[in-house]
Amino acid sequence: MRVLFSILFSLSILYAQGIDSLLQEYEEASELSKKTKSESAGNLIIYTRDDLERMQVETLKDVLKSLRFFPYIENRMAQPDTLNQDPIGYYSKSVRVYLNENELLTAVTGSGLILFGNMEMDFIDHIEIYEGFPSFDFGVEPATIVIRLYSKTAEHDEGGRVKTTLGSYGHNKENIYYTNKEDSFSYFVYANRSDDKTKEYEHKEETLKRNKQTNRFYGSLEGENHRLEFHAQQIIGDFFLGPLVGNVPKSASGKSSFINFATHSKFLNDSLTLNLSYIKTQNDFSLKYNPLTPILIPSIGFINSLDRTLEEEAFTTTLKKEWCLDIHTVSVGIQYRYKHFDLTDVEFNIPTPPKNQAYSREDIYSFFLQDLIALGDTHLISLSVMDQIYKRDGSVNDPNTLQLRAGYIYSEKEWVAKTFLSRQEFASEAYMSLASQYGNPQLDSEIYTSIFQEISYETKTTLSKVILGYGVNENTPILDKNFKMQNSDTDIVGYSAGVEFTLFFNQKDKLELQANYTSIESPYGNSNLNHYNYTARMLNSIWKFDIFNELVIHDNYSGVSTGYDYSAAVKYAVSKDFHLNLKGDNIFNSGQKHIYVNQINLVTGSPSDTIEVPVVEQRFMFGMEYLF
Amino acid sequence: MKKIILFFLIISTVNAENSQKASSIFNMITKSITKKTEPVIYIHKEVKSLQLFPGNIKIVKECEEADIIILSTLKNIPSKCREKLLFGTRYSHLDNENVIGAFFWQKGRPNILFYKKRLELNGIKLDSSYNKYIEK
Repeated sequence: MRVLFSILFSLSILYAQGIDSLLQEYEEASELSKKTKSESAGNLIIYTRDDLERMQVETLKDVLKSLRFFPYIENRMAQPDTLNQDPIGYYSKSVRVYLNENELLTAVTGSGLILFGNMEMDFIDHIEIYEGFPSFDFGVEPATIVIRLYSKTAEHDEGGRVKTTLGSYGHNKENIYYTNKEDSFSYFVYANRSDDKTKEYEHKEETLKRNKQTNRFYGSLEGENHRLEFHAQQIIGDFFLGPLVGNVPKSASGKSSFINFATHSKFLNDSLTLNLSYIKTQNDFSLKYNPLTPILIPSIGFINSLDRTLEEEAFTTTLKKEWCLDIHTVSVGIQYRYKHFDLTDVEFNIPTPPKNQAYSREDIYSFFLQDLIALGDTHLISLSVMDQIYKRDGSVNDPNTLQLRAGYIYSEKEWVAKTFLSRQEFASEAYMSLASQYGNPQLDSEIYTSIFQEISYETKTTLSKVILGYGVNENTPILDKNFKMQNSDTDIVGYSAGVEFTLFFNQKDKLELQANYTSIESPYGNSNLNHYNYTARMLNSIWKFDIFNELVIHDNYSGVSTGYDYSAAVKYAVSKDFHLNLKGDNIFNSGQKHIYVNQINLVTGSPSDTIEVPVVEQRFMFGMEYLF
Repeated sequence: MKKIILFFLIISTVNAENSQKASSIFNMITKSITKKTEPVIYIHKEVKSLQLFPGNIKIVKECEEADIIILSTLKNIPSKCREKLLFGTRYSHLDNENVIGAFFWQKGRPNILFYKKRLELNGIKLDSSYNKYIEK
């Protein structure tokens, strides 16, 4: 190896064009995403730091809106919910979000997407998204999509940055970070305040708003083998339609507070890792209805107002050991997660009996074993097994779920082929069991069986990919005729196919073209969901300008008309340390829309009144950032 | 271990490519400072990229033999080293007036910075390709 690099080194010196180009090459070779990505963990999509900066990615939604197969959607409470099945409050329990090595989650939903799917990305270095039932060594519980966010660090970002953005409807965002390195430790601190204001909608003489104010603090302290993180988030804002179906609320507002302490430690030449994390979340929301148009909750009666406080906490510890034994790389992990939630604090404008909660505590014991077997330089086989034992207080099922995954990766200079076959069981989450409107504590675990095939071909100037997927879901939770959650008797079959092509026509210029198709059978016996998604994205750097153009087309989605979301951005470097940014999202206001149920015909069970709003609002933003 | 595990190879290649490029930059800078084809350096205390891939640089164990001292810390610099040309690897190393320049990461990008006065004091004249990295 050293000989090879000595030769390469001499060549690079011989042909080096000068210190400027060498610095640029070094910057590109040092992208942190190259260190953290795991090709064997699933079908990987990477947004490098350079991508995020030149695309002017303001929030995670900016990249998720064109996500392959599963684009961004919000639930009826205006919260991120990529797999949304309105009017069910949240359906993306299997979409997991990580910040560095630590999973961000809420105990009730089992997933962090609901709180962090639209988080601002100003302290994030790069994003990795793993689709197709990713590797088990990421976390305690199984996943369909894993979103890994990596924060900026002192390694590359010594110094600070202050950024401010102003946008349509009075939208504004201000944040600052500072990071520094001492001889034996480094630290990173970040603070943000954003006031996300969007267009308001009139429906049945009420005004529906989706404005949110987000305050965040993130800090990390890192030594050679240990990292300590503290993360706090507060979101105050509108709750759009609220969780109830029947009428439009006169006002729907809420506040969520989230704090997280996490540690990550490495021992024995990084082969042993220990992660600890504590999360506490409190959600308060208040719904008020016009007294003349109250809302019916079958078990309670007609109500005019609802005030709820939901408290959750989770503690997670993960211990993982890795051995390299000839052609085998064996990983073993033991994981424990404690969840506690209290959903009993609900007040209506009419007296109601005290609410009992089927269970309030869940302990999850998880074990995984993975073997990566390298057969020569071009073949890699991965075999994984993971098991979870759930212990719940109260008289509810204690699921025991088993996950199996086999992968084969063929890789040579230009061709890479990945095949992943998995069978995973997903235990029901608390919101599915305990939600007052539709919860069912006796739900069985869902079973997903899937196969994903990805083939890619790379040359110096192009990258081409074909991705094919097939899956069968058993016991899918659906709403029955009484609007209670039940496991579906029929198996739900889904197909997905994607084609992607990237042309690198200069060192800093690239064109990305993507087309993907998803077909999922309806568990309600309706016609299949057939969704086509096309994305064309171009990134250019000319003189002091970084230019971004993107067209995202969503066709045939949930009965809404085809959405054409054209977004563009220009970044001007006044100096190395001072940048001006201009960005337009959904510039022609013709992007994808999503339909929410407002009223249901109790005889036919089908929606009698719906509300259609854009997933991404039209918005223009101007910003400036100063590095110091 | 005879067989190389494919994906560990990829990761180690990435890290090595990274270190190799950093070393190329150190090679260029030290050649420009010393005007020697094989500069002699002493490392205080650790610069992994150079130690892994020294290239045309000769790394010595004693300060006295070196043309330049490359620093990873300002702490406990041996007294014999202090009279030599000092070159930093962090922006804060430039706080020491004896450090003529530094190659470091800051604000999300790699940087090179020299101070004109310090170069003049040491009789160093860099070629014009370094002009944008010299601060008055």
